Amino acid sequence: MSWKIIGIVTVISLVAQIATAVVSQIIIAKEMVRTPELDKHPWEILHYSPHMHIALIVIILSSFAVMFFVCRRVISRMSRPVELMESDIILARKIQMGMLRKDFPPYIYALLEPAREVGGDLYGFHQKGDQLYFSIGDVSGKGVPASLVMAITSAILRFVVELDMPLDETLVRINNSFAATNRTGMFATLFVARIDLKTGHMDYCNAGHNSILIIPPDAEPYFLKSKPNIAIGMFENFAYEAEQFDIKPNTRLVAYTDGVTEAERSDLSQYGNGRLMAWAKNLVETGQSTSLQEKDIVESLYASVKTFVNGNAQNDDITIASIKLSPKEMVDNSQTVKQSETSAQKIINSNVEIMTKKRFNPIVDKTSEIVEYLMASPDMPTDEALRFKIGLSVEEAVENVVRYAYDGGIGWLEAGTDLNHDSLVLTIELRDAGMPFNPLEKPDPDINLPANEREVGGLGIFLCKKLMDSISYRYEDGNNVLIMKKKLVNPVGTTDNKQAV
Amino acid sequence: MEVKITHNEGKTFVKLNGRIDSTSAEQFQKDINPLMEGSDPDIDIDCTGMTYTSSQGLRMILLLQKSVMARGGKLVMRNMNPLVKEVFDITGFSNIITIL
Repeated sequence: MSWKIIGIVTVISLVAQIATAVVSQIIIAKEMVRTPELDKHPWEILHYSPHMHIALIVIILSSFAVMFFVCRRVISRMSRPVELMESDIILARKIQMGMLRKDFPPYIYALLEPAREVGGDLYGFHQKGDQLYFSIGDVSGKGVPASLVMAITSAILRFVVELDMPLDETLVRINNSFAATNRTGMFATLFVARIDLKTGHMDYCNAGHNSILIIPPDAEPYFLKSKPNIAIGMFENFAYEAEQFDIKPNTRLVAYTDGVTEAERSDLSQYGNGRLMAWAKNLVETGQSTSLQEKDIVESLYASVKTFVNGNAQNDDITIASIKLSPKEMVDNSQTVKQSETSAQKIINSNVEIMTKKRFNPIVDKTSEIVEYLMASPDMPTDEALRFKIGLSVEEAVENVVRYAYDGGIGWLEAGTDLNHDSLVLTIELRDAGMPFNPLEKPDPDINLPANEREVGGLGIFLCKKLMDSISYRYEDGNNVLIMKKKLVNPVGTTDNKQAV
Repeated sequence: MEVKITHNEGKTFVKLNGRIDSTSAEQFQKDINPLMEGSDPDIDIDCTGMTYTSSQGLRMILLLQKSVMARGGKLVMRNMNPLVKEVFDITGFSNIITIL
């Protein structure tokens, strides 16, 4: 840039000098014509004309003035793009930091310190009903390119929460779209989880990200093991695998990016997993793990890292998040939600179904397991005939979902039972987030056709319809919901259920 | 599901023991494969030990009946327990298979 300025200044001054010389010559010539003193040297002629002196001085000054003003404009025009970029970056940081939610409910807190004005780390959380969706990630690189990818990934994750997709499918889709258009070799590590705030059940999928630190209330902290899924953006069609973990009450989860573990001090040594574990153990030993809130925990780790680096420049984004489920928010998994009811509650409860349910994920080849879970429910009858009919209906309905609901069979199924103790109607609910499909739409098979004309398909749901008292379907919030009901009356006419006295 | 196949005097005798459900369906299909092609298309199935069948089992039994008919044979199922028989009744299978 400075060469340009010098070049322009040189050209202008040359032009000024030439102009001065030319004008001087013209004036001299004019003088000579007016006063033809041929013996005199041209300089002497000049010497005698005050007008010419003034003219020369004016020309030289004005050409410098012209040069000055032109240069100033050129320089200011060249420096303006730089000023503009700085304010753009500040705006970009505002936008990026604005994408990170800071309205934390009491059970979660997170902190993100970018290394440059904008960075590639991300975190996200969203509570939908009892489900907490949480994500943390790290896009390779820093600055504007990483922040662009960070913004896109954050937006996609937020959108995906609305769709209630299974976690492994979420990552498969994000990875495929990322990897397909990835020309720069960038990638992102990502950890996504869905935590049931009532039961503490967590489905999670770790794509190359740092292991989550688990701090139990009464045992040694440890790193949560996860399957070796690769970071997203590297290879298309990688089959991500989700896993499950049950969070006990008062257990804390600490998530972080490698801005923590790879924080460097001046001797180039890194904070590392060792110090991270030591920090966690210290929290437990000093009782701080019990007394401190999530915000304090996160700031404690941040302070620990900052103390370690001791003023050394931060070379990577630092992100720390802490989640803790306390017992008052949770219900013990083994208990059903049935307690002794007042008569008022009974009336309410007989209309409102309080389901005991369980989510299965993945569901491939799990038909028997899901059927067993349902049939073991205390809501189920003991009468053999009733159990046979209900069991068969349940198997057919579950098999339908396991086989056909999800493309590639990756997905979840939620199965639950409820028994209305007054009407003795047993309700079974199956819920999945697979492609919208109403099994009741299919016409019943014609059972009067001869063998050679009978079709092999369509028998499953037909059996459900015939063996259960009622069966209904609705599509709700992105889920297929199938409800089957049966009144627990055995063929003799007396009622049947385990709780009958 | 346990499938025992014996041949006697030009007829095929089958004894079933157990359940046909999503776990055992694949194996059951393999076990009854020989019945789909054999040279003795008169098949007698003893269902005394058959406690349960899902629609997958029904499907395979239907296919067996079709192949038996195509070979000019006859399929008979006997000693079915009432719960399983009810399933055959509901689906109309009792009309297309001889159930004794």
